[in-house]
Amino acid sequence: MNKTSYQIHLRVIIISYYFRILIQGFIMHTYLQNRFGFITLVVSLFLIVSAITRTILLVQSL
Amino acid sequence: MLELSFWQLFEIYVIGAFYDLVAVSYMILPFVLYILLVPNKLWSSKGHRYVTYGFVYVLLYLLVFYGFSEWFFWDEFGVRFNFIAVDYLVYTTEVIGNIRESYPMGILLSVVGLLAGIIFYILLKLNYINKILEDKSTLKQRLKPALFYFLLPVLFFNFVTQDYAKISKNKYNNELAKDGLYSLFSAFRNNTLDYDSFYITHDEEKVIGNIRKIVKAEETLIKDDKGIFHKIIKEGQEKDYNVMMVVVESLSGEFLESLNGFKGLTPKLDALAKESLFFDKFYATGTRTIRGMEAITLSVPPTAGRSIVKRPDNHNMFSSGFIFKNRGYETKFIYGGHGYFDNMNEFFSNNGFDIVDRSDFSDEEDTFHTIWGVCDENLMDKALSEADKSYKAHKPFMSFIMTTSNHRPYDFPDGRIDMPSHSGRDAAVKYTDFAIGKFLEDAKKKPWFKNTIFVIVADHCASSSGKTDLSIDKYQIPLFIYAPDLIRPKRISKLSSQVDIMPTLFSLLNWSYDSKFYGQDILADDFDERALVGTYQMLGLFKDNRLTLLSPGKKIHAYEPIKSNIFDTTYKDTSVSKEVEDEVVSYYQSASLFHKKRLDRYDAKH
Repeated sequence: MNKTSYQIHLRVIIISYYFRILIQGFIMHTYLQNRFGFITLVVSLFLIVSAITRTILLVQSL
Repeated sequence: MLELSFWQLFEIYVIGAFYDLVAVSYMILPFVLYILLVPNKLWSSKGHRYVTYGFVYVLLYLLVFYGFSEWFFWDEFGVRFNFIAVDYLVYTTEVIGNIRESYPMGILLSVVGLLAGIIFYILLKLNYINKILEDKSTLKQRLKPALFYFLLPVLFFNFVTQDYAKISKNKYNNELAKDGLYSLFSAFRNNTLDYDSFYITHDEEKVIGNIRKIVKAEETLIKDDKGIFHKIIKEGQEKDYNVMMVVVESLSGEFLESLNGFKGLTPKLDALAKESLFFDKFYATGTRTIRGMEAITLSVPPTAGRSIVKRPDNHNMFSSGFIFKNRGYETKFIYGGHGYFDNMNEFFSNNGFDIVDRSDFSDEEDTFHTIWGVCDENLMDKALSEADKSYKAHKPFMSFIMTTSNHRPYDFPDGRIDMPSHSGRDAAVKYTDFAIGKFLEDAKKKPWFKNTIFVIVADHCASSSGKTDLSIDKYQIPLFIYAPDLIRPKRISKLSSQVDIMPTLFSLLNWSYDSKFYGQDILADDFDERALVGTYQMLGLFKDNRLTLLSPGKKIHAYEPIKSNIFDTTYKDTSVSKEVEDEVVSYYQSASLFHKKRLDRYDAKH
């Protein structure tokens, strides 16, 4: 693997881990069965949509 | 371009997630209140279940739609939602019309609906919503988490600002570390900025003394004036040439080959550059049309917050319109769109201009239009017919003609140029160039042509985003002063600003007049080269190859361009000398002070 593709690989790993944390957090929330589970649902979805948007804008700006 | 080290990437995502959290903490408040108060019987009922399903789908739809909106806004402006987005929310007719004309909305909304549907299906499959609806907690049990959710936005409101997103000198990095929704609300809150509270201030007397020196008002200051009201004295006969000023939407310098920009987009203007006074180091004051209008008509620096055009209490400003009018000119603001947009009609009609806008175009005069206005050919034909009317009435005329064709959706009549309509910015620039060329050819056939000065200038550049908070190459625009029988062509390479247009024009007319203008005659031997540039927050002075910026928080920074062309500039930080600080503060503090004390008004006696 040359230096450039290695660096790209590392960046992809960082972003992937970020999404993994978000999605794991979201799945964990599914076990919250009280009313406030609805709030965690909204928060998780907003964070995921924002992170996807951020990634699209980031790729577009490269 | 983005600068992406590992650490920067980490910061973008972590700080970005923090701002996402701040934004969503405001968004969830009504939901928290609802969850807290709805009794268990209703919460678990069948009807409530279906209402919740519907609500969750709508919420998902809005979330996905928000993601798409951010993407499109970034594509256009290279920043998160800001001031411009706030204005767009106010002028919904134009904006929704523009979006409809620019994007395939049917397909787009269907894709959003489909994505929302997929997420909704996953949620149903997880049985997540049903589990939440089975909750039987008491009001007392719900109170504790509700208080936590109520407290969060209170804390964020008091302690969080956009400053945490300043992680880099690269503006793109900083913007990515923000959240769009939070930025939108932040722009709402910071729509106006009081100079004295947010920027560096110096002693008032000293500032007034400095600015009088800078605008050369000292020697001819009108007795007892507390500002810069002074006499401009010219020898010899005054002229009453007509003036037709075409202010071109988003005509960046980079579109012109004659400014070392793209080749072949503006053949008419490039040819005109050789027949005019052509100013090749000329800068817009801002990034919005109304900023350009403010600078041209009032000749004042771009004060913090929104343009004076859009502020309350902007009647009877010291406007060039009044100076023309008092000399017997017919002064008209001619616009192909509806002039209520951005408060333009209100501003111009109360500052010495009569209004000719889209409502004055007959069906025959309006052969093609977009939501922003009639095509540039129609607009310029109208300007010619208005000039004919003044000529017939034996009145000199001054027309301020604002174009709209170089604006998304970039639509124009077919068959005019070798590029198709609706194919993007470049084609729209080329069409506007064609329309200006045709306008000048048609004007040459008029009896008043030989006695008319044509001014062609941009309102601002097409894009304002760059690596730094304020990138100077995103302010460079062309200025042409064309009157083949009156003015000899020359290329003028003096660093100058939109605020200098009227003083230069009045000098060409050889007028003596009383002035409150900050602008100076660019053609004068003692012209002090500089450009005044601003965003709604950053206030800048570009002089002696140094860009000095005042910003909220009473900050001052200076940058020195080390590599620069019409497309891009690379800077290095540099120190700010006392002298430069005095000058930049004098410009902006005085402009703010005079506006606050109403010293920038026009008195009919002038």
